[in-house]
Amino acid sequence: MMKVMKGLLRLATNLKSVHLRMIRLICVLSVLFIGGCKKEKESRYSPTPYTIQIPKFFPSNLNIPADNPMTVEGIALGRYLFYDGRLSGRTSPDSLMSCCTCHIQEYSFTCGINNPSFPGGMPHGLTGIPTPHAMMPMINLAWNNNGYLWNGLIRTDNPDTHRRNIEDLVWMGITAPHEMHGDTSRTVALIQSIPGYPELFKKAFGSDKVTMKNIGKAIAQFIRTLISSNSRFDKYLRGEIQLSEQELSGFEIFTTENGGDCFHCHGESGNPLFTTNLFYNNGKDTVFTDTRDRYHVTGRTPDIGAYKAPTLRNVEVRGPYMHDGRYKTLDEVIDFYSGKVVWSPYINPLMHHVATGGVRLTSKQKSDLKTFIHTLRDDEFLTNPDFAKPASFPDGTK
Amino acid sequence: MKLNGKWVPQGQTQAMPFGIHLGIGQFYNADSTISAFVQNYFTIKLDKSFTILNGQTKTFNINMNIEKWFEYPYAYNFDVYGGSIMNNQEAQNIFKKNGRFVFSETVSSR
Repeated sequence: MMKVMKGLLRLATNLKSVHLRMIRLICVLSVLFIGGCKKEKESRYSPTPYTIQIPKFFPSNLNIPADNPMTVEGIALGRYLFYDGRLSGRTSPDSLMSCCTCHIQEYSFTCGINNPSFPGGMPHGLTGIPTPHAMMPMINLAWNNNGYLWNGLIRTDNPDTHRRNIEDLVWMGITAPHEMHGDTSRTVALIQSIPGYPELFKKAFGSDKVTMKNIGKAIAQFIRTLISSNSRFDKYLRGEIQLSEQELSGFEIFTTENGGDCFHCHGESGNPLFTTNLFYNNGKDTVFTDTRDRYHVTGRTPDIGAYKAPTLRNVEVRGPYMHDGRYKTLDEVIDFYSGKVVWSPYINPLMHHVATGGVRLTSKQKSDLKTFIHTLRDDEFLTNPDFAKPASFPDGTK
Repeated sequence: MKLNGKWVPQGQTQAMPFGIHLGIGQFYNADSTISAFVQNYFTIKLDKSFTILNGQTKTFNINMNIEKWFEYPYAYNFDVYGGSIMNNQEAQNIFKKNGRFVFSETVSSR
Protein backbone atom coordinates (compact mmCIF):
# COMPACT_ATOMS: atom_id res chain seq x y z
CA MET A 1 0.00 0.00 0.00
CA MET A 2 2.86 2.35 0.94
CA LYS A 3 4.58 1.52 -2.41
CA VAL A 4 1.41 2.41 -4.27
CA MET A 5 1.18 5.70 -2.37
CA LYS A 6 4.86 6.54 -3.10
CA GLY A 7 4.32 5.62 -6.75
CA LEU A 8 1.27 7.90 -7.01
CA LEU A 9 3.19 10.69 -5.24
CA ARG A 10 6.12 10.33 -7.67
CA LEU A 11 3.71 10.34 -10.61
CA ALA A 12 2.02 13.46 -9.30
CA THR A 13 5.40 15.11 -8.75
CA ASN A 14 6.48 14.22 -12.26
CA LEU A 15 3.22 15.49 -13.69
CA LYS A 16 3.63 18.70 -11.70
CA SER A 17 7.16 18.98 -13.02
CA VAL A 18 5.96 18.43 -16.60
CA HIS A 19 3.19 20.95 -16.03
CA LEU A 20 5.61 23.53 -14.71
CA ARG A 21 7.94 22.91 -17.60
CA MET A 22 5.04 23.38 -20.01
CA ILE A 23 4.06 26.62 -18.32
CA ARG A 24 7.65 27.77 -18.55
CA LEU A 25 7.74 26.78 -22.23
CA ILE A 26 4.49 28.63 -22.91
CA CYS A 27 5.87 31.68 -21.12
CA VAL A 28 9.06 31.57 -23.17
CA LEU A 29 7.10 31.12 -26.38
CA SER A 30 4.79 33.96 -25.40
CA VAL A 31 7.71 36.27 -24.80
CA LEU A 32 9.23 35.23 -28.09
CA PHE A 33 5.86 35.71 -29.83
CA ILE A 34 5.28 39.13 -28.27
CA GLY A 35 8.84 40.11 -29.07
CA GLY A 36 8.37 38.91 -32.61
CA CYS A 37 5.14 40.92 -32.97
CA LYS A 38 6.83 44.03 -31.67
CA LYS A 39 9.71 43.54 -34.03
CA GLU A 40 7.31 42.91 -36.90
CA LYS A 41 5.30 46.03 -35.99
CA GLU A 42 8.45 48.14 -35.85
CA SER A 43 9.67 46.88 -39.16
CA ARG A 44 6.32 47.66 -40.81
CA TYR A 45 6.56 51.38 -39.91
CA SER A 46 9.55 52.51 -41.82
CA PRO A 47 8.59 55.56 -43.87
CA THR A 48 11.00 56.69 -46.55
CA PRO A 49 12.68 59.99 -45.64
CA TYR A 50 12.16 62.78 -48.17
CA THR A 51 14.73 65.51 -48.53
CA ILE A 52 13.96 68.77 -50.30
CA GLN A 53 16.60 69.39 -52.94
CA ILE A 54 17.64 73.03 -52.53
CA PRO A 55 17.51 74.66 -55.97
CA LYS A 56 20.55 76.57 -57.08
CA PHE A 57 20.82 80.02 -55.46
CA PHE A 58 17.98 79.29 -53.02
CA PRO A 59 18.52 79.73 -49.28
CA SER A 60 19.03 76.65 -47.17
CA ASN A 61 17.04 77.65 -44.07
CA LEU A 62 13.87 75.61 -44.46
CA ASN A 63 10.87 75.79 -42.16
CA ILE A 64 10.13 72.15 -41.39
CA PRO A 65 8.93 71.39 -37.86
CA ALA A 66 11.06 68.87 -35.98
CA ASP A 67 7.98 66.80 -35.16
CA ASN A 68 6.94 66.47 -38.80
CA PRO A 69 9.87 65.27 -40.88
CA MET A 70 8.97 64.84 -44.52
CA THR A 71 8.52 61.31 -45.85
CA VAL A 72 7.48 59.90 -49.20
CA GLU A 73 4.49 58.24 -47.55
CA GLY A 74 3.45 61.37 -45.68
CA ILE A 75 3.59 63.47 -48.85
CA ALA A 76 1.57 60.90 -50.81
CA LEU A 77 -1.11 60.83 -48.12
CA GLY A 78 -1.10 64.62 -47.93
CA ARG A 79 -1.66 64.88 -51.66
CA TYR A 80 -4.75 62.65 -51.44
CA LEU A 81 -6.16 64.67 -48.56
CA PHE A 82 -5.35 68.00 -50.23
CA TYR A 83 -7.55 66.97 -53.16
CA ASP A 84 -10.24 64.88 -51.43
CA GLY A 85 -13.45 66.86 -50.95
CA ARG A 86 -14.40 64.63 -48.05
CA LEU A 87 -11.82 66.52 -45.99
CA SER A 88 -14.75 68.80 -45.16
CA GLY A 89 -16.32 65.93 -43.22
CA ARG A 90 -19.20 65.72 -45.66
CA THR A 91 -20.10 63.28 -48.44
CA SER A 92 -22.93 64.98 -50.31
CA PRO A 93 -21.60 65.95 -53.77
CA ASP A 94 -22.60 69.58 -53.32
CA SER A 95 -20.90 69.79 -49.92
CA LEU A 96 -17.47 68.47 -50.78
CA MET A 97 -14.58 70.81 -50.14
CA SER A 98 -10.86 70.40 -49.70
CA CYS A 99 -7.78 72.57 -50.03
CA CYS A 100 -7.87 72.23 -53.82
CA THR A 101 -11.33 73.80 -54.05
CA CYS A 102 -9.67 77.20 -53.78
CA HIS A 103 -5.97 76.34 -54.15
CA ILE A 104 -5.84 75.45 -57.86
CA GLN A 105 -2.51 74.47 -59.39
CA GLU A 106 -2.88 76.28 -62.72
CA TYR A 107 -3.48 79.53 -60.84
CA SER A 108 -0.42 79.01 -58.66
CA PHE A 109 -2.67 77.48 -56.01
CA THR A 110 -4.99 80.45 -55.77
CA CYS A 111 -8.57 80.31 -57.00
CA GLY A 112 -7.92 82.33 -60.15
CA ILE A 113 -9.52 85.59 -61.11
CA ASN A 114 -11.58 84.02 -63.90
CA ASN A 115 -12.89 81.14 -61.83
CA PRO A 116 -16.71 81.10 -62.29
CA SER A 117 -17.12 79.69 -58.77
CA PHE A 118 -15.35 82.66 -57.23
CA PRO A 119 -16.23 85.86 -59.09
CA GLY A 120 -13.37 88.33 -59.15
CA GLY A 121 -11.02 85.75 -57.73
CA MET A 122 -12.26 86.35 -54.18
CA PRO A 123 -13.07 82.98 -52.60
CA HIS A 124 -15.78 82.09 -50.14
CA GLY A 125 -16.28 79.15 -47.85
CA LEU A 126 -18.48 76.11 -48.20
CA THR A 127 -21.40 77.90 -46.60
CA GLY A 128 -20.98 81.04 -48.67
CA ILE A 129 -19.12 83.20 -46.17
CA PRO A 130 -16.48 85.29 -48.00
CA THR A 131 -12.86 85.03 -46.97
CA PRO A 132 -11.53 88.21 -45.36
CA HIS A 133 -8.64 88.62 -47.77
CA ALA A 134 -7.57 87.74 -51.30
CA MET A 135 -5.60 84.53 -51.67
CA MET A 136 -1.86 84.17 -51.36
CA PRO A 137 -0.03 81.75 -53.64
CA MET A 138 1.29 78.43 -52.36
CA ILE A 139 4.83 78.59 -53.66
CA ASN A 140 8.06 77.73 -51.90
CA LEU A 141 6.35 77.92 -48.51
CA ALA A 142 9.02 75.65 -47.03
CA TRP A 143 11.31 78.69 -47.16
CA ASN A 144 8.94 80.96 -45.27
CA ASN A 145 10.37 81.58 -41.82
CA ASN A 146 8.46 84.82 -41.19
CA GLY A 147 4.90 83.70 -40.64
CA TYR A 148 2.01 82.60 -42.83
CA LEU A 149 -1.07 84.55 -43.98
CA TRP A 150 -1.11 88.20 -45.02
CA ASN A 151 -0.46 89.29 -41.43
CA GLY A 152 1.89 86.49 -40.39
CA LEU A 153 -0.43 85.30 -37.64
CA ILE A 154 0.75 81.73 -38.07
CA ARG A 155 4.35 81.82 -36.91
CA THR A 156 6.75 79.47 -35.21
CA ASP A 157 7.17 81.69 -32.14
CA ASN A 158 3.44 82.12 -31.57
CA PRO A 159 2.63 81.59 -27.88
CA ASP A 160 -0.51 79.82 -29.08
CA THR A 161 0.97 76.46 -29.99
CA HIS A 162 -1.97 75.75 -32.31
CA ARG A 163 -1.09 78.63 -34.62
CA ARG A 164 2.48 78.03 -35.58
CA ASN A 165 2.82 76.42 -38.98
CA ILE A 166 1.16 75.01 -42.08
CA GLU A 167 -0.04 72.03 -40.04
CA ASP A 168 -2.21 74.43 -38.02
CA LEU A 169 -3.52 76.13 -41.16
CA VAL A 170 -5.03 72.79 -42.19
CA TRP A 171 -6.99 72.67 -38.96
CA MET A 172 -8.05 76.28 -39.50
CA GLY A 173 -9.11 75.50 -43.07
CA ILE A 174 -11.45 72.78 -41.90
CA THR A 175 -13.02 74.72 -39.04
CA ALA A 176 -13.04 78.36 -40.23
CA PRO A 177 -16.56 79.58 -41.14
CA HIS A 178 -15.21 81.25 -44.28
CA GLU A 179 -13.54 78.03 -45.40
CA MET A 180 -14.90 74.50 -44.85
CA HIS A 181 -16.96 75.50 -41.81
CA GLY A 182 -16.53 71.95 -40.60
CA ASP A 183 -16.00 69.88 -37.52
CA THR A 184 -12.68 68.09 -37.19
CA SER A 185 -14.23 65.10 -35.40
CA ARG A 186 -16.51 64.54 -38.39
CA THR A 187 -13.59 64.88 -40.78
CA VAL A 188 -11.51 62.42 -38.78
CA ALA A 189 -14.37 59.90 -38.55
CA LEU A 190 -15.12 60.16 -42.25
CA ILE A 191 -11.51 59.76 -43.38
CA GLN A 192 -11.14 56.84 -40.97
CA SER A 193 -14.12 55.11 -42.59
CA ILE A 194 -12.87 55.42 -46.17
CA PRO A 195 -11.16 52.20 -47.29
CA GLY A 196 -7.50 52.70 -48.03
CA TYR A 197 -6.90 55.74 -45.86
CA PRO A 198 -6.16 53.90 -42.56
CA GLU A 199 -3.44 51.90 -44.33
CA LEU A 200 -1.91 55.07 -45.73
CA PHE A 201 -1.91 56.68 -42.27
CA LYS A 202 -0.19 53.58 -40.92
CA LYS A 203 2.50 53.79 -43.58
CA ALA A 204 3.00 57.49 -43.01
CA PHE A 205 2.69 57.76 -39.24
CA GLY A 206 2.81 54.20 -37.83
CA SER A 207 -0.83 53.96 -36.81
CA ASP A 208 -3.97 53.34 -38.83
CA LYS A 209 -5.92 55.51 -36.42
CA VAL A 210 -6.72 58.75 -38.24
CA THR A 211 -6.10 61.87 -36.19
CA MET A 212 -6.48 65.55 -36.99
CA LYS A 213 -2.87 66.06 -36.05
CA ASN A 214 -1.70 63.58 -38.66
CA ILE A 215 -4.10 64.97 -41.28
CA GLY A 216 -2.46 68.35 -40.75
CA LYS A 217 1.02 66.88 -40.85
CA ALA A 218 0.41 65.00 -44.09
CA ILE A 219 -1.09 67.95 -45.94
CA ALA A 220 1.67 70.25 -44.68
CA GLN A 221 4.27 67.83 -45.99
CA PHE A 222 2.66 67.87 -49.43
CA ILE A 223 2.44 71.66 -49.45
CA ARG A 224 6.15 71.93 -48.66
CA THR A 225 6.92 70.04 -51.87
CA LEU A 226 5.28 72.78 -53.98
CA ILE A 227 8.52 74.29 -55.18
CA SER A 228 8.98 76.68 -58.06
CA SER A 229 12.55 77.01 -59.31
CA ASN A 230 12.37 76.69 -63.07
CA SER A 231 11.07 79.94 -64.47
CA ARG A 232 12.77 81.67 -67.37
CA PHE A 233 14.53 83.87 -64.84
CA ASP A 234 15.82 80.83 -62.93
CA LYS A 235 17.20 79.46 -66.17
CA TYR A 236 18.81 82.83 -66.87
CA LEU A 237 20.41 82.85 -63.43
CA ARG A 238 21.79 79.37 -64.02
CA GLY A 239 23.24 80.48 -67.34
CA GLU A 240 21.00 78.21 -69.39
CA ILE A 241 19.26 80.89 -71.44
CA GLN A 242 19.64 84.58 -72.20
CA LEU A 243 16.85 87.06 -71.55
CA SER A 244 15.69 89.45 -74.22
CA GLU A 245 16.79 93.07 -74.25
CA GLN A 246 13.39 94.15 -72.99
CA GLU A 247 13.39 91.55 -70.22
CA LEU A 248 16.82 92.67 -69.09
CA SER A 249 15.69 96.28 -69.14
CA GLY A 250 12.75 95.28 -66.97
CA PHE A 251 15.10 93.44 -64.63
CA GLU A 252 17.16 96.60 -64.21
CA ILE A 253 14.02 98.63 -63.51
CA PHE A 254 12.91 96.00 -61.01
CA THR A 255 16.20 96.14 -59.12
CA THR A 256 17.03 99.86 -59.02
CA GLU A 257 15.86 102.51 -56.60
CA ASN A 258 15.59 105.02 -59.41
CA GLY A 259 13.58 102.53 -61.42
CA GLY A 260 10.66 100.50 -60.10
CA ASP A 261 12.35 99.84 -56.75
CA CYS A 262 10.54 96.50 -56.49
CA PHE A 263 13.47 94.49 -55.16
CA HIS A 264 13.53 95.78 -51.62
CA CYS A 265 10.36 93.86 -50.79
CA HIS A 266 10.09 91.37 -53.63
CA GLY A 267 13.64 90.01 -53.95
CA GLU A 268 16.00 89.82 -56.90
CA SER A 269 18.79 87.61 -58.13
CA GLY A 270 20.22 87.41 -54.62
CA ASN A 271 16.82 86.45 -53.25
CA PRO A 272 15.19 84.19 -55.83
CA LEU A 273 12.20 83.56 -53.57
CA PHE A 274 11.02 86.94 -54.91
CA THR A 275 9.72 87.90 -51.50
CA THR A 276 11.36 88.89 -48.26
CA ASN A 277 8.36 87.31 -46.49
CA LEU A 278 8.20 90.56 -44.48
CA PHE A 279 5.35 93.00 -43.91
CA TYR A 280 4.96 96.48 -45.33
CA ASN A 281 2.49 99.31 -45.40
CA ASN A 282 2.97 100.04 -49.09
CA GLY A 283 1.00 103.28 -49.26
CA LYS A 284 -2.36 102.11 -50.56
CA ASP A 285 -4.51 103.92 -47.99
CA THR A 286 -4.72 106.71 -45.47
CA VAL A 287 -7.36 105.15 -43.25
CA PHE A 288 -6.92 101.70 -41.75
CA THR A 289 -9.83 99.68 -40.38
CA ASP A 290 -8.86 96.08 -41.17
CA THR A 291 -8.56 94.06 -37.98
CA ARG A 292 -6.45 91.47 -39.76
CA ASP A 293 -3.43 93.60 -40.62
CA ARG A 294 0.04 93.07 -39.21
CA TYR A 295 -0.65 95.52 -36.38
CA HIS A 296 -3.27 93.20 -34.99
CA VAL A 297 -0.61 90.53 -34.67
CA THR A 298 2.29 92.55 -33.28
CA GLY A 299 0.60 95.56 -31.64
CA ARG A 300 3.36 97.76 -33.10
CA THR A 301 2.16 101.09 -34.49
CA PRO A 302 4.46 100.98 -37.56
CA ASP A 303 2.64 97.76 -38.55
CA ILE A 304 -0.70 99.49 -39.03
CA GLY A 305 -1.93 98.72 -42.53
CA ALA A 306 1.02 96.43 -43.19
CA TYR A 307 0.75 93.10 -45.00
CA LYS A 308 3.14 90.48 -46.27
CA ALA A 309 4.83 91.05 -49.61
CA PRO A 310 3.83 87.93 -51.56
CA THR A 311 6.21 86.20 -53.93
CA LEU A 312 6.11 87.44 -57.51
CA ARG A 313 6.71 83.99 -58.91
CA ASN A 314 3.78 83.13 -61.18
CA VAL A 315 2.20 86.43 -60.24
CA GLU A 316 0.72 86.77 -63.72
CA VAL A 317 -1.55 83.72 -63.29
CA ARG A 318 -2.98 84.75 -59.99
CA GLY A 319 -4.91 87.77 -58.91
CA PRO A 320 -6.65 89.86 -57.86
CA TYR A 321 -3.77 91.68 -56.21
CA MET A 322 -3.09 93.23 -52.80
CA HIS A 323 -4.50 91.84 -49.56
CA ASP A 324 -8.01 92.98 -50.43
CA GLY A 325 -7.85 92.14 -54.12
CA ARG A 326 -8.42 95.75 -55.16
CA TYR A 327 -6.40 95.46 -58.37
CA LYS A 328 -7.45 93.03 -61.06
CA THR A 329 -4.45 93.22 -63.37
CA LEU A 330 -0.69 93.59 -63.19
CA ASP A 331 -1.01 96.83 -65.16
CA GLU A 332 -3.14 98.27 -62.36
CA VAL A 333 -0.55 97.21 -59.79
CA ILE A 334 2.31 98.81 -61.74
CA ASP A 335 0.23 101.97 -62.20
CA PHE A 336 -0.32 102.09 -58.46
CA TYR A 337 3.37 101.87 -57.61
CA SER A 338 4.17 104.33 -60.36
CA GLY A 339 1.90 107.17 -59.31
CA LYS A 340 -0.87 106.36 -56.82
CA VAL A 341 1.06 105.76 -53.62
CA VAL A 342 -0.35 107.83 -50.75
CA TRP A 343 1.28 109.03 -47.57
CA SER A 344 0.22 108.04 -44.06
CA PRO A 345 2.14 108.07 -40.79
CA TYR A 346 2.47 104.30 -41.11
CA ILE A 347 3.90 104.06 -44.61
CA ASN A 348 6.96 101.84 -44.70
CA PRO A 349 10.37 103.58 -44.90
CA LEU A 350 11.11 101.69 -48.10
CA MET A 351 8.31 103.57 -49.85
CA HIS A 352 10.59 106.60 -50.17
CA HIS A 353 9.06 107.66 -53.49
CA VAL A 354 5.82 108.64 -51.80
CA ALA A 355 6.59 112.36 -52.14
CA THR A 356 6.06 111.98 -55.88
CA GLY A 357 3.20 109.51 -55.53
CA GLY A 358 5.40 106.61 -56.58
CA VAL A 359 8.33 105.65 -58.77
CA ARG A 360 7.06 107.55 -61.83
CA LEU A 361 7.76 105.05 -64.59
CA THR A 362 7.36 105.90 -68.26
CA SER A 363 5.09 103.78 -70.46
CA LYS A 364 8.12 101.98 -71.86
CA GLN A 365 9.51 101.33 -68.39
CA LYS A 366 6.17 99.92 -67.30
CA SER A 367 6.10 97.66 -70.32
CA ASP A 368 9.67 96.48 -69.78
CA LEU A 369 8.99 95.85 -66.09
CA LYS A 370 5.94 93.76 -66.89
CA THR A 371 7.91 91.81 -69.47
CA PHE A 372 10.50 90.99 -66.83
CA ILE A 373 7.80 89.94 -64.36
CA HIS A 374 6.57 87.46 -66.96
CA THR A 375 9.97 85.74 -66.76
CA LEU A 376 9.01 84.70 -63.22
CA ARG A 377 6.28 82.44 -64.59
CA ASP A 378 7.15 78.80 -63.96
CA ASP A 379 5.10 76.55 -66.25
CA GLU A 380 6.79 73.46 -64.91
CA PHE A 381 5.35 74.31 -61.50
CA LEU A 382 1.90 75.04 -62.92
CA THR A 383 1.72 71.67 -64.70
CA ASN A 384 3.86 69.42 -62.50
CA PRO A 385 1.96 66.08 -62.28
CA ASP A 386 3.35 65.51 -58.77
CA PHE A 387 1.37 68.52 -57.59
CA ALA A 388 -1.83 67.59 -59.44
CA LYS A 389 -4.96 65.75 -58.35
CA PRO A 390 -4.35 62.00 -58.05
CA ALA A 391 -6.05 59.82 -60.68
CA SER A 392 -8.17 58.26 -57.93
CA PHE A 393 -8.47 58.33 -54.16
CA PRO A 394 -7.48 55.44 -51.85
CA ASP A 395 -10.97 53.87 -52.06
CA GLY A 396 -10.94 53.99 -55.85
CA THR A 397 -13.27 56.96 -56.20
CA LYS A 398 -12.31 59.73 -58.58
CA MET B 1 24.50 98.90 -44.42
CA LYS B 2 20.79 99.61 -44.28
CA LEU B 3 19.16 102.30 -42.19
CA ASN B 4 15.43 102.69 -42.73
CA GLY B 5 13.39 105.39 -41.06
CA LYS B 6 11.53 108.68 -41.43
CA TRP B 7 12.64 112.33 -41.81
CA VAL B 8 10.71 115.59 -41.80
CA PRO B 9 11.47 117.81 -44.82
CA GLN B 10 12.10 121.47 -44.12
CA GLY B 11 8.89 123.45 -43.87
CA GLN B 12 6.72 120.34 -43.65
CA THR B 13 5.16 118.36 -40.87
CA GLN B 14 4.76 114.96 -42.46
CA ALA B 15 7.57 112.50 -41.81
CA MET B 16 8.78 111.05 -45.08
CA PRO B 17 10.33 107.60 -45.49
CA PHE B 18 14.00 107.01 -46.10
CA GLY B 19 16.04 103.93 -46.89
CA ILE B 20 19.76 104.67 -46.65
CA HIS B 21 21.42 101.63 -48.17
CA LEU B 22 25.17 101.80 -48.63
CA GLY B 23 26.59 99.45 -51.21
CA ILE B 24 28.04 99.38 -54.70
CA GLY B 25 27.58 102.78 -56.34
CA GLN B 26 27.49 103.80 -59.97
CA PHE B 27 28.63 106.65 -62.16
CA TYR B 28 26.43 107.52 -65.08
CA ASN B 29 26.93 108.75 -68.62
CA ALA B 30 24.95 111.67 -69.97
CA ASP B 31 22.40 109.24 -71.44
CA SER B 32 21.87 107.67 -67.96
CA THR B 33 23.74 104.49 -68.80
CA ILE B 34 26.23 103.30 -66.20
CA SER B 35 29.83 104.26 -66.91
CA ALA B 36 31.49 102.69 -63.87
CA PHE B 37 30.79 100.95 -60.59
CA VAL B 38 32.22 102.11 -57.27
CA GLN B 39 32.99 99.91 -54.28
CA ASN B 40 31.86 101.77 -51.20
CA TYR B 41 33.14 99.40 -48.57
CA PHE B 42 35.70 100.58 -46.08
CA THR B 43 37.90 99.13 -43.36
CA ILE B 44 37.83 100.19 -39.74
CA LYS B 45 40.55 99.41 -37.22
CA LEU B 46 39.48 99.47 -33.61
CA ASP B 47 42.81 100.11 -31.95
CA LYS B 48 42.17 98.99 -28.42
CA SER B 49 44.54 96.12 -27.74
CA PHE B 50 43.75 93.54 -25.14
CA THR B 51 45.06 90.26 -23.84
CA ILE B 52 43.10 87.19 -22.95
CA LEU B 53 44.83 85.03 -20.36
CA ASN B 54 44.29 81.31 -20.09
CA GLY B 55 40.95 80.69 -18.38
CA GLN B 56 39.89 84.30 -18.67
CA THR B 57 36.74 85.51 -20.46
CA LYS B 58 36.50 88.93 -22.04
CA THR B 59 33.54 90.62 -23.67
CA PHE B 60 34.19 92.70 -26.76
CA ASN B 61 31.41 95.12 -27.68
CA ILE B 62 31.26 97.02 -30.95
CA ASN B 63 29.06 100.11 -30.61
CA MET B 64 27.50 102.03 -33.49
CA ASN B 65 26.47 105.65 -33.10
CA ILE B 66 23.60 105.85 -35.57
CA GLU B 67 23.39 109.65 -35.56
CA LYS B 68 27.00 109.96 -36.70
CA TRP B 69 26.16 108.22 -39.95
CA PHE B 70 24.15 111.31 -40.83
CA GLU B 71 26.18 114.15 -39.35
CA TYR B 72 29.89 113.56 -38.75
CA PRO B 73 32.10 114.78 -40.25
CA TYR B 74 29.77 115.46 -43.19
CA ALA B 75 26.15 116.43 -42.68
CA TYR B 76 23.72 114.53 -44.91
CA ASN B 77 21.03 116.90 -46.08
CA PHE B 78 17.82 115.00 -46.76
CA ASP B 79 16.36 118.06 -48.44
CA VAL B 80 19.14 117.90 -51.01
CA TYR B 81 19.68 114.19 -51.50
CA GLY B 82 16.30 112.76 -50.53
CA GLY B 83 15.50 109.49 -48.82
CA SER B 84 17.35 107.06 -51.06
CA ILE B 85 21.01 106.90 -52.07
CA MET B 86 21.59 103.70 -54.00
CA ASN B 87 21.67 105.44 -57.36
CA ASN B 88 23.48 108.53 -56.11
CA GLN B 89 27.22 107.99 -55.62
CA GLU B 90 27.71 111.49 -54.24
CA ALA B 91 25.25 110.73 -51.47
CA GLN B 92 26.71 107.27 -50.89
CA ASN B 93 30.13 108.84 -50.52
CA ILE B 94 28.93 110.89 -47.53
CA PHE B 95 27.95 107.74 -45.67
CA LYS B 96 31.11 105.98 -46.75
CA LYS B 97 33.17 108.76 -45.18
CA ASN B 98 31.01 109.14 -42.07
CA GLY B 99 31.04 105.40 -41.52
CA ARG B 100 34.65 105.55 -40.40
CA PHE B 101 33.64 107.47 -37.28
CA VAL B 102 30.52 105.72 -36.10
CA PHE B 103 32.06 102.67 -34.44
CA SER B 104 33.72 102.35 -31.07
CA GLU B 105 34.59 99.41 -28.93
CA THR B 106 34.68 98.41 -25.29
CA VAL B 107 36.43 95.46 -23.78
CA SER B 108 35.53 94.17 -20.38
CA SER B 109 36.66 91.27 -18.26
CA ARG B 110 34.20 89.00 -16.60
